[in-house]
Amino acid sequence: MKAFSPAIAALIESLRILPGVGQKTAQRMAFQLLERHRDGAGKLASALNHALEVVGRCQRCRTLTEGDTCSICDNQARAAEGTVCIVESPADVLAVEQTSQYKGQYFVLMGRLSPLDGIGPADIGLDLLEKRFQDGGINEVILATNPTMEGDTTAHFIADLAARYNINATRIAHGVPVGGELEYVDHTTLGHAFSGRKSL
Amino acid sequence: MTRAVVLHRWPWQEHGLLLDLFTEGFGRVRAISKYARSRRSSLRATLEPFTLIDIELKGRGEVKNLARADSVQNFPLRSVHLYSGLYLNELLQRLLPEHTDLPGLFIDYVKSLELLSETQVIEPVLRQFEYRLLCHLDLDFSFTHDANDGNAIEPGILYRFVAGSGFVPAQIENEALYIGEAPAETASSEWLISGAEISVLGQFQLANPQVLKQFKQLMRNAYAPLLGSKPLRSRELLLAAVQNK
Ligand SMILES: [Zn+2]
Repeated sequence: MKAFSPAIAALIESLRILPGVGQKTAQRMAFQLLERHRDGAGKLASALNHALEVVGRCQRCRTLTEGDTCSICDNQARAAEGTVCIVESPADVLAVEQTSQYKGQYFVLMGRLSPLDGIGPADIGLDLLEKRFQDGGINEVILATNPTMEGDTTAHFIADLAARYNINATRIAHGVPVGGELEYVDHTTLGHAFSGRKSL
Repeated sequence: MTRAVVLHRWPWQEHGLLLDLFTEGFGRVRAISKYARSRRSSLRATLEPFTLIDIELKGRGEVKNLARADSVQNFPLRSVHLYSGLYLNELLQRLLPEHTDLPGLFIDYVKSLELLSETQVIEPVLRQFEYRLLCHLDLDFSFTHDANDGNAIEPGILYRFVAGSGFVPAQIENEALYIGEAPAETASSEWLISGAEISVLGQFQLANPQVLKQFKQLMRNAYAPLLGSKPLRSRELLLAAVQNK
């Protein structure tokens, strides 16, 4: 039995690619758009089309942007800092920006090293990153990859690469969450917190 | 409760993880932890690789449910030690079939992780594990007798290594016995080793650089047909790390 006409079924199927959207939610969204928000649906469709047309990757840092390079890479003051913060995704750039603590540039890997998934250095743009190391003007890379085995692997690999160009590499500290209590923190996290301790 | 180590894991649905577990009692098992990736879960760190955990599995299907997991010991690995740990995991993923219970191998694996997290020198640890893995997979060979007719290895004779069987006297092999062998094995025909050297290798003195080098050659020959033409991706990181130094 076919419950939906082909166009509705195709819309539901398309909505399901969004994170956290299952069959039920996709159905609700589809009916909302088609029943009550037809204007909004039109805007959504054209915004999506437009974004797909103009948004690509920054040629310097690989983040999502319109044009050849992004506004952060174009910012001369930020370039003059001589620091590059390495993150896994464009969402991580946003997260670091929101701390208001960092004034340098970024490099977005769009992934992480994961040999067991067949993802090697070239797959996350490390050839491009090495070229930036070669070009000079960088005195520190800040490794802000996730505190996972893959994030650690990526961080160590890039740190070794940076050392070859005499660039200092630092890793952001990972550890006890603010407002957390020690006895509820797992061994691994507490271990990270200890190895990342600093003097007061 | 069973002891286990996560070899690898993938996101599963919105909040879960699909785990490739190496367990002490059941070998390699796949299991799902439904809420490991949810915000409030502390399981995420426990279920990272290179951590010895106590687990309880439920369910009768091919893929189990992870009912609970407690961290027992974490083996912190950095840089080449980390790539080496990945190398061990990749070897197990490639060569150890699921649901094959090899408790001795589990102990060797955990021991290797422990050594990697404690010692500076990694190569002897890797070679030792490679050899132990061959033994557990019933692919070990004799260092004292040849694989042709079981004659004692003689110090003055040259041997070559045939993966899956062992050392064979080079001359005899070249003549008649192995004519028409599979091409995969011709790679190992380049490598010749004297009986005297074989006896030394059999003592596993891997702290000696010369012995270590030859043992590496031996392991490379032994693993070539097992790994086929698909290279290990973790080796790429290890090689790059050596070049970066
Ligand atoms: Zn950019």
